[in-house]
Amino acid sequence: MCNGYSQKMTCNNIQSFLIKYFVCFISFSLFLLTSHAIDASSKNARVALQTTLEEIMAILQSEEFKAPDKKMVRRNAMLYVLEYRFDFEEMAKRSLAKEWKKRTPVEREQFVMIFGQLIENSYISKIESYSDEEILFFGEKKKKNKVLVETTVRRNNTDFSVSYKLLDKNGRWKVYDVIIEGVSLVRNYRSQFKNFLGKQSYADLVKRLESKVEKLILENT
Amino acid sequence: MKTSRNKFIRIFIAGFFFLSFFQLSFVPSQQFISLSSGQIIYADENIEEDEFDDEFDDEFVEEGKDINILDPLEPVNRFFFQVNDKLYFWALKPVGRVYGAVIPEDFRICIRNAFKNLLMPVRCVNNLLQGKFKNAGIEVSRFLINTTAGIAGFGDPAKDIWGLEPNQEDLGQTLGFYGIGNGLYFCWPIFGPSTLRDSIGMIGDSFLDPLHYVMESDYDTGVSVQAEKTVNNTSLVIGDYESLIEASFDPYIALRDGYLQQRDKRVNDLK
Repeated sequence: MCNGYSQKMTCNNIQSFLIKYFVCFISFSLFLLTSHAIDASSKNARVALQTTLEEIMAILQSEEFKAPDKKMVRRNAMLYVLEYRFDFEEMAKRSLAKEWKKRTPVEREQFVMIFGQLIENSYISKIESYSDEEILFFGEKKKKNKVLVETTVRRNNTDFSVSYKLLDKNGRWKVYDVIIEGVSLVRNYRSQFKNFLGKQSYADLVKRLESKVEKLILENT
Repeated sequence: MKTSRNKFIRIFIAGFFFLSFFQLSFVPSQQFISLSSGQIIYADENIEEDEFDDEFDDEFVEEGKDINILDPLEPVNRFFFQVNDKLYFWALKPVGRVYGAVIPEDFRICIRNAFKNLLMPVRCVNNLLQGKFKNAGIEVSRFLINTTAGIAGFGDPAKDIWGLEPNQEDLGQTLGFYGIGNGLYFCWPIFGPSTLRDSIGMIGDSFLDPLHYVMESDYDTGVSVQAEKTVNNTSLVIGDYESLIEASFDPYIALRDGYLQQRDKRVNDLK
């Protein structure tokens, strides 16, 4: 009888174990589904951005990735999250402005690739150096298919404003500009490229951008 | 004659300690007051109509167009940009690092608060000049609370307890408020990026800076206080200037445009 009782218990244990895992699995897949469903249905840009930033913070703070030999794994994980939310093509288009129209599709594609690498590498190395920042979300402004999300980053007891411009691209909110303390990233690049193209050719610009990115990647590894 | 010349040289040396205040101050919000030489005003802000704007018109850019600035001194400015860059990386940053390693962060934040507190007259007067009486009142309250309850301004209970945020205003912004444009762009040696309007503003504001009077009566004390202020503030923002330079395609233009964008936002209170 005693034996039978304990057997029943283990049976129950296995059952509850399975149920627990099943619930975990379901809720996890629901979480995955909803994180995408939010994008498509409710079009809540702020939530989308918040999710991405939280994911990046989670990767930064996770103990698993903190070992020095895991640095590249961590970086790739962050890049994956970043690329999902940031639209480098829109950024490149807006940065090149008039010059963009003169470029062939192949040239555009090549430019988007290098430009994306420049932003990724400089952005990643910046956020890697901080992990004790606090991000506070303020409001969002909507105009047509674009949303401006205002946040404040608190570091060293100093607040500075970081705003994100997002646009609805086929039902997914994508960041196309970041404004740090009133300085728009895209406008900043636009003035740099414009100034350069006033003196030199597009080919020179690409060459210089490539060498810049190469240097950055070398420094970061 | 000799003494006035000596004084000029001394002021210039003192300026070393102001180094890249602007370069640094444009990432976090800080007040920068200094003495420097100004010239005649001829303000002309050229806002270019760009065909690009038609296609990718951005609804969030309230001022609409990119800021274009006259920069006839670009070669000279580029040279001084390089000088300032080297001074930052070779002198200010290493000193700031050592200082930061010795003095705990919380204490450095307190020192920064105390220096900010002393600049209340600048913020208050410029708020008044722009007719922002409520903000001027907030500045006075902040000063009274922080000087007493905050122990000589080391703490910031006005913000932490009463939620009174400082309102960053300076004479350059006041001039901009009344429609005066940037004029020429300058990259001053040591002082960093500025425009004709903002340089004149800096000179005006310096008369409201207690440090100016300290330096006038006792030069050596003034310089050491200024040095402490600059090193202390730098130690708290190491990395910001670097990341701007690292991410840029042409660092000189990146800093110029960043400075102009930020000033534009501040003048229009869009931040």
